[in-house]
Amino acid sequence: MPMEDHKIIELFFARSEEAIAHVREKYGPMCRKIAANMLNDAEDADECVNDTLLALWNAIPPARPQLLRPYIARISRNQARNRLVYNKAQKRSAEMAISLEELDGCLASPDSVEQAMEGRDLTRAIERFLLTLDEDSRNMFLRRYWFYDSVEEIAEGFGVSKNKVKVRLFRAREKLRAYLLQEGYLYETGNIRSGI
Amino acid sequence: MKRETFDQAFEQISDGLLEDALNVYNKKRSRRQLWMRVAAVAATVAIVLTATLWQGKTPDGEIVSAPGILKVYAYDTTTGTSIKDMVRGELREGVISHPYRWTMGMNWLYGLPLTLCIEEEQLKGMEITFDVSVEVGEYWADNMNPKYNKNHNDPVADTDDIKLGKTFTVDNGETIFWIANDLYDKDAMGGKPFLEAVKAYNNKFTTRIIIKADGNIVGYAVVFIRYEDDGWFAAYLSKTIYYPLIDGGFQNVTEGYVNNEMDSEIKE
Repeated sequence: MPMEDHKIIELFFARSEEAIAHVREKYGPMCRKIAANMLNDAEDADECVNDTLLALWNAIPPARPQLLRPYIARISRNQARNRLVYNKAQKRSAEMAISLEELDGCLASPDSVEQAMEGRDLTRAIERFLLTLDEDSRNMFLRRYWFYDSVEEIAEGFGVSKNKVKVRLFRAREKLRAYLLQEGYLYETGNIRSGI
Repeated sequence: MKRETFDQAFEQISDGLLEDALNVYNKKRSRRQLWMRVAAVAATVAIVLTATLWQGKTPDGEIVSAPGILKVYAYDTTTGTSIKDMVRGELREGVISHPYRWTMGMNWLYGLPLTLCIEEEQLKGMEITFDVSVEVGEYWADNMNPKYNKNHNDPVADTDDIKLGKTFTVDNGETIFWIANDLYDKDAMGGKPFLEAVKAYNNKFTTRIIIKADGNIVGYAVVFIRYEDDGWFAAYLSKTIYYPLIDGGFQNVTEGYVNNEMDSEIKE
């Protein structure tokens, strides 16, 4: 029976290496899946899991996450993304490449407004946008563009057709673009790629 | 916008939203299984009801439940100074993190506002009420509600008129405000100062809601109010259940049964 999260966190605070073993057992598969969804190489995905565990060891303490699983998921994603950035020879997985292309269509804007933005403001804006979606659309969006699941996996997980997933994602991307335009994070180009 | 800019900001979204997405495949599977079980039980109940229809009785023992119909609305208290001006959103079951928060420093609001609402077709025309109880803190009513304040254009002179307390009943669509006054009362908290008192409750305070239609229990909800590290409070809907009418009649759901169900949810 996997150890409860709050007990695992206490092991981190006690600097017991058992914490790492418990996290590997309980969340290793999740970390590997996230990394594998982003990287093109199985060995790199395995190394990413080790990087995640090291980063976690360094983060807790002082961090004491209220929800351990998404905290670890975020570290995994960040580690996988770092590998892509620093290892220029590394290619993204095909699935991640497709997902990013889909998003490109709704993020197109003639002027850059990054300088005017605090990253935190954009995060909060994205959260507010996500909460405007119905529950299924929100979770499909997250599974596709945060976790980089394939459309097939999402369709199977939700018990719906692939076409339904594609339509929901398309509508969510359109709503995202409209939201970002309304909030001033994008300026209108007049050209939106559908991505479907 | 560069995709990297978006992606970096997107990566930092709240743990609650991610947790919901992490659970979704298991939830969908077990919900499909639950609906199959509900359909099977409903079919069994229908068969038994048909067999006993001439007696006009409802069989004992089997309670059919379904996903809840209670809508709990919370408010982004940074977007206005009164409820009617604020952005509001519906709390989704299990979603912990969202922008609808309140802090004690907001002295233009009595407390954390929540609006309780049922719009179920099956219950149309019935009087819907909510029996609310809370262990820590208390609730106040909306002073702009003419039910409590006859002179609803002015603030109440006597706030006793709008103190609902720890156990009370409100109508469908009412807004209530949760106040954390207990937590600041050392006598009530066994001598503990505020932060220790909060920690003693694991940063989480429970509100139980029993939903009634024409006086019959038709569901319940458990709402947790969470104290967040930055001094804000936020509510989240932990669970809501509906006991649907069977062949137009209420199921025989007792307060004891519902309280046991809520106890199980709170313990988890």
